[in-house]
Amino acid sequence: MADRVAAITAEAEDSVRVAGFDPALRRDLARRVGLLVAHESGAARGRSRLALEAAGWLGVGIALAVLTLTFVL
Amino acid sequence: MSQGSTTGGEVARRAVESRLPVLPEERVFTTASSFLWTCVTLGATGAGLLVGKALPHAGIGSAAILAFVAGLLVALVPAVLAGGIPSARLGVDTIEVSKSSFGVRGVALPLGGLILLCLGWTFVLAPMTATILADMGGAAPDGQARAGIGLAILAVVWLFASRGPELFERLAVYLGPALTILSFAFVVLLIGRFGMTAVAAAKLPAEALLTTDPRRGFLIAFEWGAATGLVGWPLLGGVARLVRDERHVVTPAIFAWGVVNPLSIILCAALAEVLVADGSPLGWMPIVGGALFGGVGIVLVVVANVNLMVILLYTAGVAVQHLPAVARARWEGILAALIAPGIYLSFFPDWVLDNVTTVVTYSGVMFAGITAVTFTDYYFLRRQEVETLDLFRTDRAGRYYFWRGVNLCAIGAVTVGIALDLWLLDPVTLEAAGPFLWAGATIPTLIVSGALHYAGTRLLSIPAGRGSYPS
Repeated sequence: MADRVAAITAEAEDSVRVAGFDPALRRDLARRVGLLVAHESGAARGRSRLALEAAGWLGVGIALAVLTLTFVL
Repeated sequence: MSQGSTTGGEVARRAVESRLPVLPEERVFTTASSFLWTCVTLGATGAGLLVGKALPHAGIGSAAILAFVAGLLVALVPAVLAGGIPSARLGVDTIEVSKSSFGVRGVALPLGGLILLCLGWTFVLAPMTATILADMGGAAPDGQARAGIGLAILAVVWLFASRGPELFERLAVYLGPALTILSFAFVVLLIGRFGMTAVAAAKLPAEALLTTDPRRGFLIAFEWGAATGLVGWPLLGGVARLVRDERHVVTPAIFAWGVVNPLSIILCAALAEVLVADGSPLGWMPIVGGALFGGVGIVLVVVANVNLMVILLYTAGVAVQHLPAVARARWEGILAALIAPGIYLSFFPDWVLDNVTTVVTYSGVMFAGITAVTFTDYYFLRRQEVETLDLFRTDRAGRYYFWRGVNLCAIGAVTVGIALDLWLLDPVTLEAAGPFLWAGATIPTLIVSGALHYAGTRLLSIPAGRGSYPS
């Protein structure tokens, strides 16, 4: 994990030179990106749960629309 | 600015006030309930009351609130998925993420829409809140008192926003439940006063209705819900980067906007519109609840309005730093510059309420196309993979450079979406084209914009090697 963060940080430090950031913030940006990428790849979970959650709410919305339309017509 | 520890207090503070990615341990929404109550306070404001007052005019009685919730849920789901989830995962604001869809320069389109929406509503809510307070204090409605109160409100909003997001998160934890309980109490009082039968059958006289056609009435209420839901893209996307766990984004936001608010503050305002004849947004509160309870209600709505303005200004303050000239300015200075036009506008409250509201309503139309494009891009074309580092690169070597920094497919899809949406239904005059009665306006716009972006990317961007899409 630490090696991965360091590698991404080094790459980021090199890349963000053109991003228009204050030079003092570039190192911090690079390290943050490194930490977040490592965090995200280590936490690649819950995507099917997200789909289920979204589909559930969308289903409620569509069902409510159909029922209400049937009721008012 | 310090170059020290990434998680140091000063650097962490700088991160939440800038475009820097916010690390999970720095985020202010640490539980599902803290984000839920913030979302409740976002809707339980003057804006929610106006929606509630408008619903009975759709002409389908109590079914209007169900049609409104249906439209809200159908639009809110893609808006939260496209605006909130990537922001929470990457710790950056929704404009940063949408560079992967629009290009590092093409992002000016959603950025302009977001700033117009956030500042427009801030400038509308300030005179609206000033009028409420002036009425409470007995000041003349058109007197200088309203301008003075409006200026004081803007000063408070600037002060709170410059202190960072912790303040509005802490306030929402108390304000959200208080507003919800208060609204339920007002519903009980209305039932007690008028009787359950009268409340259930509550309806406006025919001359006050926008239509007597039930299908059209259903679609108008549905579209009001959808328009409210689509605001979730800029608004929830702006604060979702402060949510620690992505699992706390979707259901708390949708439950707050789609269930809690419609069943409390919006229902309450809708019933009051029909049962209590009073022209002002909050004048019914003292009539129904008495001077003390009604006064408490008005104060809570005023505080919620101020809290919403703080969140809107915070969201605009972070987003506007995508302009290179602004990125190095001090946070307090950025907020002061954003709120400055509001100082001038405070002296013309009636003009603002009439005209800025119209501009904001029309500008909201673009979010159907933007939601469709960002949703399609992130979930169907990129399979939920965005390279954070490349969001910060503006050179040709960056993944999201497209054509001179602009993704022509995304811009084209949104432009067609805006034209289609406006043709199907004018959101201000409510003039509608024939097909509106069969499909509404928002759903066709979402589908057409999303399909155009998908087809354009498959046929143009990917073969041309633009945008680094997985093949």
